[in-house]
Amino acid sequence: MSAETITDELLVAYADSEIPPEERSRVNHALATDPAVKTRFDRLSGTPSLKEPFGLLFAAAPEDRLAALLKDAEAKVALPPALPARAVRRPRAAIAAAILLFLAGGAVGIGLQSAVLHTGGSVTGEQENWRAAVADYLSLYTRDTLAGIPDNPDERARELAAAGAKLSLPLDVGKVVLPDLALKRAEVFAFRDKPLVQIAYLSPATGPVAFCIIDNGQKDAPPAFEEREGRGVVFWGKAGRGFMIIGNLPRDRLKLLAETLAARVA
Amino acid sequence: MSETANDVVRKGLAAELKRLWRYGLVLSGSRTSADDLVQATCVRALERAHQFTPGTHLDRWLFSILHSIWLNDLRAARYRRGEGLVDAETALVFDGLREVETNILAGQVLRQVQALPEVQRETVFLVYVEGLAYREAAKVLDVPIGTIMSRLAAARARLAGLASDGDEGKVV
Repeated sequence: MSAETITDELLVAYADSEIPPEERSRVNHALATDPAVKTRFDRLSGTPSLKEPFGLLFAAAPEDRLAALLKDAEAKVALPPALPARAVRRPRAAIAAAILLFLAGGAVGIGLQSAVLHTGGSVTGEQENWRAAVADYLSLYTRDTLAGIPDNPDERARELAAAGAKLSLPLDVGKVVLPDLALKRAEVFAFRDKPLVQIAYLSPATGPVAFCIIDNGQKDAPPAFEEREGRGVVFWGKAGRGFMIIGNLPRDRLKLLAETLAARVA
Repeated sequence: MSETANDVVRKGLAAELKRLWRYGLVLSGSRTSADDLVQATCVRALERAHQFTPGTHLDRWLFSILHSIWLNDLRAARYRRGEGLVDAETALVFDGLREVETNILAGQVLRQVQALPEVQRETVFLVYVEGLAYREAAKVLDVPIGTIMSRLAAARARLAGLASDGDEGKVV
C-alpha cells in the first residue's frame, strides 16, 4: 500500500480506535512497513493530554452562579409564570418598556389595504389574509422601531392584560417572554373587525420578531411554516383563534418558539 | 412518556451545569458568554424537555442545544456588533482563573487548544475532553463523521507542531 493513501485522518482515527474496520489492516500494514507513515503517526498521536488541563476549567466553573442561572431559567419557563423581574437577570434578555397603543386602523391601514387586495373572501382566504397583513405591517419595522422602547415591566403587564381582554385570552409577561428575545410591546389592532394583537420582540441578532393572535373563529390547525415578505412564519390555530410568529429567524428556531408559545398561550 | 422526559431533564440539568459552562467557555472564549450560553441552554432544554428521549445521553443532548444556540444566536450577535472573531479575546480567557494560573503546563496546553480554529477547537474538546465517540460528536455538531475526522487530524497536526517546540506532551 502506498503511503499517500494513508491520510492523517486515518492515522488519527487509528490512534483514537475509531478506524473503520475495513481500513484497519491497511493502516497496520503501512505502520509496520513504511517508516514515513510510522513517523507521521507518532507525530500526530503524540499530542498532549487534554483531560487534566480541561479538568482545571471544570473546577473553575462558578458553581453558585450557575445554580442561580438554572433557577432563573426554571422561573422563565415555569407555569404559572414567575415575575418578570426575576426571570431576567441579564440585560441581553431584558424586558424592555412599553407604549400602550390602541390603534383602530391608522398606521395599520397600509398593511391591511394591501392584504384586502389579494383576498378571495373564502374562509381559508380570510385566515391567510390576516397573516399577509401582519407580514406587510412588520415589513415596515426596523430595529430602530423597537430599540428605543424603554424597559418597563409594569407597562408590559398592563399592555398584555389589555390585549388579553380583547381576545378573551389571559396574557401576561410570563406566558410570552422568550429566550434571547427582548419583549418590546403588546398592541391591539383589528383586522376586519376581529381583534388582533401583536406582541413585538427585538432579536439582538436579527431584528424585529412578532407574535400575533387573532380571534376570528379559526379552525384548529397544527403549526405550519411559510415565508412572507422575506421572513419566516410559523402559524397555527386553536380554540377559534389564529396564532403566528414571524421573524427573520431560522425555521427550526421559529418552530421551537411556536411550540413554546402554543404550550403557554391557549 | 413526555412527563418522564421532562423529569429526566429537570432533574439532570443541575448536574451538567459545570460541563456546559466549560463547553461555553471553549466555544466563546469569554466567561460572560459562557454564563449566557448556560442560561439560554437551560431555558431551551426546559422548554423542549418533552423532546428528549429518556434512556439516551442527557449530556449529549444538552451539548447540541448549547452548540446550536452559540451558532445561531450568540455568535451571530457578536459578529453583528462588529466584535468579530473570538480569537482577540483568547489571551484573556484564562486570566484570573486561579486553577489555571497556578498550573503553568496545563495553562500552556489550554492556550494551544484555544488558539485552534473554532470548529477544530470544539471538535477536539468534545472528543478528547468529553470523551464523545466520533459518531456522537458528529451528531452534536450536526456534521458528517468525515468532517469530525478531518477536523481532528488538522487539530492534531497543529498541536503536534506547537508541542514540538515546547514541552513533551503525554499521549492523549
